[in-house]
Amino acid sequence: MHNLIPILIAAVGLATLLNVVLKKINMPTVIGYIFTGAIIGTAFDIHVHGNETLEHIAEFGVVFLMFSIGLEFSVSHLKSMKKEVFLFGLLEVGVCAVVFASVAHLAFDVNLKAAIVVGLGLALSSTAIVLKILNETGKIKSEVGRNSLGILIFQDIAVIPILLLITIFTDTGRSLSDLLLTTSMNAVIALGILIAIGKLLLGHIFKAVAATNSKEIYMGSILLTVVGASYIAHHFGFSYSLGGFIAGMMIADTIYKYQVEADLIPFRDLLLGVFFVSVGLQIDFKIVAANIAPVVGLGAGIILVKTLLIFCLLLVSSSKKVALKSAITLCQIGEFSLVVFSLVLANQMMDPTVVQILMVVAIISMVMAPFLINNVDSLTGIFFKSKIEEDALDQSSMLGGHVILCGFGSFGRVVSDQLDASGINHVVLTNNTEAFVKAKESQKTVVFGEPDDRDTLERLKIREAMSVILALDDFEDVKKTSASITLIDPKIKIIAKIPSEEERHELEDFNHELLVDSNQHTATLLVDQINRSRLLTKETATLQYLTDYTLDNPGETIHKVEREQTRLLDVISRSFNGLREEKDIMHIKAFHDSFKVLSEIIGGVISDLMSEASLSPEEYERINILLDNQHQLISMNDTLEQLGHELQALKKNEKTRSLSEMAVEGLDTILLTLMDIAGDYDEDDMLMYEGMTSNEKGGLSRIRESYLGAEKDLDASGKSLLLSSTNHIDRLRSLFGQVGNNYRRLSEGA
Amino acid sequence: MLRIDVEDIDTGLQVLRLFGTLDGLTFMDLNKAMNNSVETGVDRIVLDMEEVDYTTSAGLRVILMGAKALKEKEGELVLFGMNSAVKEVFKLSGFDTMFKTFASEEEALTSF
Repeated sequence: MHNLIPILIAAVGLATLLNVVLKKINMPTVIGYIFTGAIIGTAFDIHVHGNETLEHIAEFGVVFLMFSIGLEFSVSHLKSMKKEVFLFGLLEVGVCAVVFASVAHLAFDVNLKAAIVVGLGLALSSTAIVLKILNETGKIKSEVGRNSLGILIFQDIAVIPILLLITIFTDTGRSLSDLLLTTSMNAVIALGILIAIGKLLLGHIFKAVAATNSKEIYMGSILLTVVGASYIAHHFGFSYSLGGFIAGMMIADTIYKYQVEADLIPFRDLLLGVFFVSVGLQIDFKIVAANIAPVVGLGAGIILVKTLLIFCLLLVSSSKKVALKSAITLCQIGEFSLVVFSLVLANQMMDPTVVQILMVVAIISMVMAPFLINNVDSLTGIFFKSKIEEDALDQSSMLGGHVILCGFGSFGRVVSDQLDASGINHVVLTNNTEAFVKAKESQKTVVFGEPDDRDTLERLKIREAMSVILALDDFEDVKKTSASITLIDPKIKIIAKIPSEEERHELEDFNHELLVDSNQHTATLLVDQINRSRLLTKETATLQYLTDYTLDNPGETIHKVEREQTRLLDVISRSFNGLREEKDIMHIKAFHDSFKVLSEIIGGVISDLMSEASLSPEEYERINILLDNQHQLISMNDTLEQLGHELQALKKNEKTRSLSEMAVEGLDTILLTLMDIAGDYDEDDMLMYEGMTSNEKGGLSRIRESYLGAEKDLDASGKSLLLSSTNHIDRLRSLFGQVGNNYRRLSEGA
Repeated sequence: MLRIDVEDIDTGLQVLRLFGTLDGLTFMDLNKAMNNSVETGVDRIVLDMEEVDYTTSAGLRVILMGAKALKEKEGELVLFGMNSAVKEVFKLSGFDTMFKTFASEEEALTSF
């Protein structure tokens, strides 16, 4: 055994050095780790095979990667990816395996069983490399990312039957039905245990751990969850990484998701580094040197065929460009293929040299993968560039007197939506892939390209454009694009967003029609909004009956208090209208503030009457009822204010939108009936009103149950919001009932 | 838009079939239809809600007024065929405790 310390120092030092250099030329760290492994392996003569500890540490890198991917994919999200996982995944593994197995068997005379296993192995791609890069570049949620992730998840699941198949081909002692039965039972038990723990225990465990406020206990619990879940999966014959993925999915449905994700990333990246170093360790330069022609030939052939097959399969539902990008992303051979080839070698199913060559080809394809994925846009552009750009430009050529909107970040999207709302033709120009996909999904006319590229701007007919809006987040980009536009034609009008007033002078040389200082503009808008709300508050909170009152005539003042108090119900009704009409928060808040101002004045008069006026016993009883009413109405306003926020949140979720709308209508109906009772008391109305506020049939509980049931499939925060809002609805109905009862008491005393 | 088809079933018994949305723009149509019915001696009204996609508080208030007017004549208003959204608003407004609601027209008609 080598002394570990110098090897570790050399490995960490070399990895750091290589990655610093690679980062400078924009290459991913994966390459640095793999080369570190290859160099250290050769220098110290270390081999990962047979070194179980190193194999396990390396494998847990992938486990943590799959766990973090699982965190992004709750059960509901996975359901929404059925097509990518089960259709594309099945097709990819099935078709690639059949083609590679046929070629191996027919052209290279490999025996059928070995050919099938090798075919399946070659169909797999590298989850670790592809997902790491897609995650780092934020492309995981693009269409290419979804296609790739779906297929990779299926491949990870497919590893189980592939390993089973090797056992069937090599194990003559057990029957096929016996093996299938055992595996199916194991799958049910393992999934059952993991789901039961996830659904029943995990939330409680993390809640208890979070309460300790200790980072180390939190980290410990994450480790326990990941390692525990992967151990359970492995114990039942599945890969460690599948267990990690399921554990991630279980936490994705809890509120601890983001905290777990943040705490896990350093740990995950470190272990992944070890994994990639272990991949590098498997490169045997001697085999590469001795078989350079077969390695290059096989490698190129496999990658080309795999790219072509995946491309053709994905054409079923994706555009040519997306299909080719996904195919290039997945064309390498994966780490699980290495496991499959190791088993082929161990079970002597094929010539060992051929298996070694396959393993070297797999590793070289993995080394090439980051280069290919990082340059996927340019590679795809070779084949489809002109076509795609023509498509976009064809659309934009329809424009004239149009607006060119550079940038489609959060600000750009708002600008684009407002341009649409005003019916102004515009074309979006962005160099961000994710933004491009978003714009496409939103049916925008969009062109992928650099905003400061003069050729692109010319092709967008910038000279004929009404205006150019620079909605770019980076101020350097604003400057570069302004310079390019000025070079095309200094007369072209530019509207740009600048981060603050300080940057204004830096753009003085260019022809800016308007420079929007985002801070100043936002501040102006905010103050405008507040001013409007203040005016609304002032208008609604103006007294109508208590403008003048005297304590010398308490009977008349009490009557005025009653009338003014009824106006509080009217203000509450306006809040309901605000919610119905989807007014902004400030608008609705203005009504709540009006209520507070008005109720404070009414409360003051009640207090004066009670402490300073000379009251008859009847008047005292009446003012006592009004005081109680006052308390109930204040609670009603507070409850409605909280409920209003919750209803707006419920409205944003497709599954609870109807409840939000129906709650406004239902509660407003009760309130309108209460206003009738308050204005002109009628016992028949009151009897009906009692029915409305009694909740005799438990209708609200039934609604709550139906939304919390499996059919709606709300996540944890959705359920929490639903419980809180229905509790507030319940509380409001009860307050309505009490206020109605007070009006009955007032009418009895009248 | 709200269309209302009135069907006489028996003496004093009518089915009002509603088609559309019962909201602040259309509630007066139902109000008029029910007033007409009551004025012509109808004391039992069945509201066919099968084609009502949505109802606001204004719509609910008209149903309430209609029920009140019928109650004064010792009659009754019942409903059938409500979709899930309308059922939900009935539960939230407490209307489910005040009104008899049925799944089918037959059940509604035999309830009197």
